[in-house]
Amino acid sequence: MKSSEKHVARVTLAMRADDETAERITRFAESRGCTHVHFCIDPGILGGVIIQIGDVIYDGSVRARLETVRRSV
Amino acid sequence: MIDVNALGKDLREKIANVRVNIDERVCGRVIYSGDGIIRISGLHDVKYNELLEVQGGARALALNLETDCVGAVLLSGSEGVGFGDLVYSTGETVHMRVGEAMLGRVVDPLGDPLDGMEEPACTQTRPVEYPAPSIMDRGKVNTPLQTGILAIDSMIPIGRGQRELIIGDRQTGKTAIAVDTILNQKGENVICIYVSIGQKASSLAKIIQTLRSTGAMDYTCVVCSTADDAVPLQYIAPYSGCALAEYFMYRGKDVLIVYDDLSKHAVAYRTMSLLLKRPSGREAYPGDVFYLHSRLLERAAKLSADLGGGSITALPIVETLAGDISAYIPTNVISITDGQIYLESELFNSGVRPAVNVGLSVSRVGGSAQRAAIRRISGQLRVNLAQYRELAIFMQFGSDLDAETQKTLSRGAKMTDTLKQPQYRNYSVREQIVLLLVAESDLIDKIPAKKVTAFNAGFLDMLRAEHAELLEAIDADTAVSDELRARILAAAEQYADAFAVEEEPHAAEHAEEVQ
Repeated sequence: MKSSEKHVARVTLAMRADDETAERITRFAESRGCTHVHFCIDPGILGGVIIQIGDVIYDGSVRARLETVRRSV
Repeated sequence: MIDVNALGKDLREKIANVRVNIDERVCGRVIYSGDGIIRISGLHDVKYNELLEVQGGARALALNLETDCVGAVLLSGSEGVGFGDLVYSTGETVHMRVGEAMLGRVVDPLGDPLDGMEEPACTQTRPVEYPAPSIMDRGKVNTPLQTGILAIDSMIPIGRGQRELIIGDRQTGKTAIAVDTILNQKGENVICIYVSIGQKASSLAKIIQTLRSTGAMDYTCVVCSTADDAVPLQYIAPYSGCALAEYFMYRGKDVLIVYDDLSKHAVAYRTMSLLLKRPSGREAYPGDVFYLHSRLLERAAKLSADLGGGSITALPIVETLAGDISAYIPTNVISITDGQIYLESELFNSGVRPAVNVGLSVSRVGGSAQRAAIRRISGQLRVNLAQYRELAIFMQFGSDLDAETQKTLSRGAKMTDTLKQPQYRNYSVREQIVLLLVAESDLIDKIPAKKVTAFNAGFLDMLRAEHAELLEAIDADTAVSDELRARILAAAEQYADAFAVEEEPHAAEHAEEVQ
């Protein structure tokens, strides 16, 4: 992995974020050493947010939560 | 009838209990997928042999850690894995389900059931790769593991904790010996594990059916990877089986594990290595193919009394091509194991079954574990048979033979006949002792050639029915007393006379037909 990728946060949302949410996400990314934040929209995640910084992923999407529920029931 | 309300309530409760945490997970992306191999970019902290989870549910094993990517093998075929898919590290290695509930089951190398029944109720797992017991953890091999096969128990004895290779061409009865040995463990307090590696599903089904119908499944677990399974599954199958065996061994139990067979295991590993682009060596096997088998077979051991005295006896099977035991994999495994049982197709085809070549078969540690009574009688057996085979070669020149030579030849042939044994017909230790006593005595000269097998079967039946007290009187752990020996031989003599009379009318009829 290129070292520059560690400074980029890729944020996936189900729909366009309002300013306050975007601000909170940016602050979170900056606290983990990111200098750039890329937003993209994927309705497939149903809701919530997925943030990827370098190799590390924080999956807070509704799809992932439903998957966890499906596996444990 | 399913109670919908109760089911709904149950589900609701379960869902309420599910904890959904947003964890920090390390991930990478698939940048290549093909032939069951994936290459992943990212995953900077992945460890060797770590289990990976691919988006969509597939699992993979990280085997090549390189500067810019990770090479991994898929455990479940490559369907549904695409370019750019996320791959998560799990922080664990592959684990096998272990526990008493595995007995009687047919499972895959990850412990999932293949017999159409519920998941085995096991609460524990064990890592598939595990270090072998250290030098100080080991005890001396001193208890015999009876195979029930006279040729093996008398001349190539196997002890609990030993590794004895079964080697031979295709169709020489390698699996038959292993299955017979499993069947013979009934009531011996030995847990059996049969690991099939890349076998045909049809032959495996037959083995499972045999184990079921004879009741051997009660103490046996079958770990399966058939020829159509993903190569990585075939690769981990013996290690999974061994993990299960270790569970029992560390609880002080005796375990017998059969690896059928390690040549296919080496081929599976070669496939993986070549696809992962590792450098290839002799016969295109990778450099660590010796370590592949040595680390597996070293895990078979007899534990010291402090650790409970459990044991794993391993019977690896290796298939040779055209009897070539000096090929790469056979020599490797021969040097790792404590002896080998060499089966020959020539012997098999001439009717000597089990087709054990006594000259090339050895047991390096089993001798000290052999039952005293058998050891005493079978001491000369190997030498006599070697002498017989040497003479038999000369006999082919057809020269006239003196009486002494003729006697050695006829005795040798009869001894060979005594060692013939049908499949699924195991002899108990006492029966073995009786057969060896008869074969060694002068009585054997009275029995016509080619009738020895019939005589032995008949004699044992008679003994069981009419002289059960003679069988009972034999103590396998001390040499047979002269008095008991005389009584057994007297019974044999009596039967031999009756046997001769019984056979004669047939002989007369046959003579008339010829005229």
